[in-house]
Amino acid sequence: MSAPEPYWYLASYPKSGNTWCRVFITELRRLAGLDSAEATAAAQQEEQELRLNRDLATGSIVSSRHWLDDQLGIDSSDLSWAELDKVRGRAGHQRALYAECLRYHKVHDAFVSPDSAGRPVVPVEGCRGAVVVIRHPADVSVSLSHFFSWPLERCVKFLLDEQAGLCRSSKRGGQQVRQFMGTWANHVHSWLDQQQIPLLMLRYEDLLAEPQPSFSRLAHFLELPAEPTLISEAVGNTSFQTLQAKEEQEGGFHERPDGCERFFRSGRSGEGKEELTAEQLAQLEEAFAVTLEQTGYV
Amino acid sequence: MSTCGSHHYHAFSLHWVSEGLLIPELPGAQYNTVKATPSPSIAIQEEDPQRWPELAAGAHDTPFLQMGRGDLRLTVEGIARFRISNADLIAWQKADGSVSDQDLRTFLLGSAVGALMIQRGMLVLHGNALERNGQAIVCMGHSGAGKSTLAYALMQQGWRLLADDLVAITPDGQVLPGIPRIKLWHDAAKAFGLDPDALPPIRQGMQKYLLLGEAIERAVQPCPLKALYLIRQQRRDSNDPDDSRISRISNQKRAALCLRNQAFRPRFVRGLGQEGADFIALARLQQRVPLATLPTPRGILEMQSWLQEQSLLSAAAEAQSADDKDA
Repeated sequence: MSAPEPYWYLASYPKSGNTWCRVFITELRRLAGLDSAEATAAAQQEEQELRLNRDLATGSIVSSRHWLDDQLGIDSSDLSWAELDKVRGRAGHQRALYAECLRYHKVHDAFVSPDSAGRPVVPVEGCRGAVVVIRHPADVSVSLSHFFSWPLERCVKFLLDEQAGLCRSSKRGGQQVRQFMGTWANHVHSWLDQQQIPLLMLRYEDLLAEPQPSFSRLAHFLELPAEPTLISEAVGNTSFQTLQAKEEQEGGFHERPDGCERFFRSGRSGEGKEELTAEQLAQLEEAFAVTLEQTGYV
Repeated sequence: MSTCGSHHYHAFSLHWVSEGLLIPELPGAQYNTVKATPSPSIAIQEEDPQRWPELAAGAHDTPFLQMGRGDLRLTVEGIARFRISNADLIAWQKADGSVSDQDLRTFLLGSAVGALMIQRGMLVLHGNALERNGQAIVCMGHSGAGKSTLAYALMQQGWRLLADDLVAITPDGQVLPGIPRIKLWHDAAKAFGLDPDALPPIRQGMQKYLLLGEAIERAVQPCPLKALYLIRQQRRDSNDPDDSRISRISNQKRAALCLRNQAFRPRFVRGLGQEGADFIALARLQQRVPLATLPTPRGILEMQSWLQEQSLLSAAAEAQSADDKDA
């Protein structure tokens, strides 16, 4: 087998800041001169596609069929979701499929699934660690509702659904495989409680409120240059306002994704409290009380 | 249901002899014409992997694949192990007695046959091939791009199927008639007005179905390739007329990269030591056949009416280049 490449995960429930972190990493590497212009362009293209594609189809997401087919040597759509979850964790991470700056793999799967027989759904061999980005579930609901064009009520239900997942249908194909998540709390715990790979937990709210120390921790954890001036420049270049302006400029009206008005929509925290009904808020806070406390939200 | 005896088939202009395993997906070969057929013979047979020679670790191996020059081992966990060797033998063994022949065939007819065709020096692309007036087009795309749906839509417009999923092209640019079957997901089958319950699933319990036999109009002769297309789904809410236009990929470097990416299991090609030969075959193909993007509409009805307006045998060659815009 080819020499293992170091790799990391950026694990999060959807709409919790995963893409923002990846954009930051690409920018930091660019500023530090770690990547060629071509590699940076490839990574930026990757993010662009992610933002413009409603199916969340990107090459370097761990649930990519293209990558799994390559590793398994078969058409992964000839396997059932249950069969796939049993083998996904042993797919390798050889180079060749990804550019240097794409070694930070986005994951929305929970660490284990009911079908993975207690084993991780994602490969862990040779993995240097996982950055787990979490965000208050009420805000996640609002963001999901804009992204999927779902009513808020449906999003709240989704966060509470023990069987929730992405790309769950077994009646149609797609560029990604099923990603089991379970409830929001199940998802968070599956990553925070695992003992197999080193972990850095970041809260979306902290990335917003205190970007300098938060993104510094991210850079340190990923063994990237973390000089304060470099971090602050990368933070500035990837602030929400900048990303929004870029999206407007690059994507324009014609290329906006189906149904979703913009990927970098507001980026604010606290929208959940403004937009959810008191009952919906109470439902989330009650169901996730323990997790919210453990992660410092209450 | 395995049966005793040899079963003879004809696909990819090759003669196939399967010992004990019936493969109804492959077109049968008449036994009495077999001896008269000069085409080489491929053997498919059960073997005990314990007796397979040790294979040194290869640079492109994965936990499921071991490869050396002319020898590929594939493990599909819980289903079967395969060895494809010497460009003329597919050996298999089921994981246990509970594995059905259908499960075995699903992987045998995909990856194992693909590996064998690569070993035979064919250019193997991940796509489908359709024929009209004795000429072929190939539409390529990764898993989930909508290849089979497109193939079925084209068949409804009078195209005949040469191959689906795995397309083998000879060094002189002929597309070989492959396995005459299409796999359609439940939702696609329904959208075409088919009753999924009346179709055989690709494997027990799965909602992906097989169309074969009389459900398929197939082409039986090798055909010269006239156009290569890369499937790209249109955006539903796009107002950009360019989004629904077939555009030529004429930039040599871009076309080469695109074709390389659309090879059937590029890892097999590298692991089997066929990259050099494959590179030359791709370069020749690229010189000879125009490559264009095929922006298929998302809905099946929309796709059907859009396809009716296209002349796909000539559209790639006539399409305006997208490179100026991209550059």
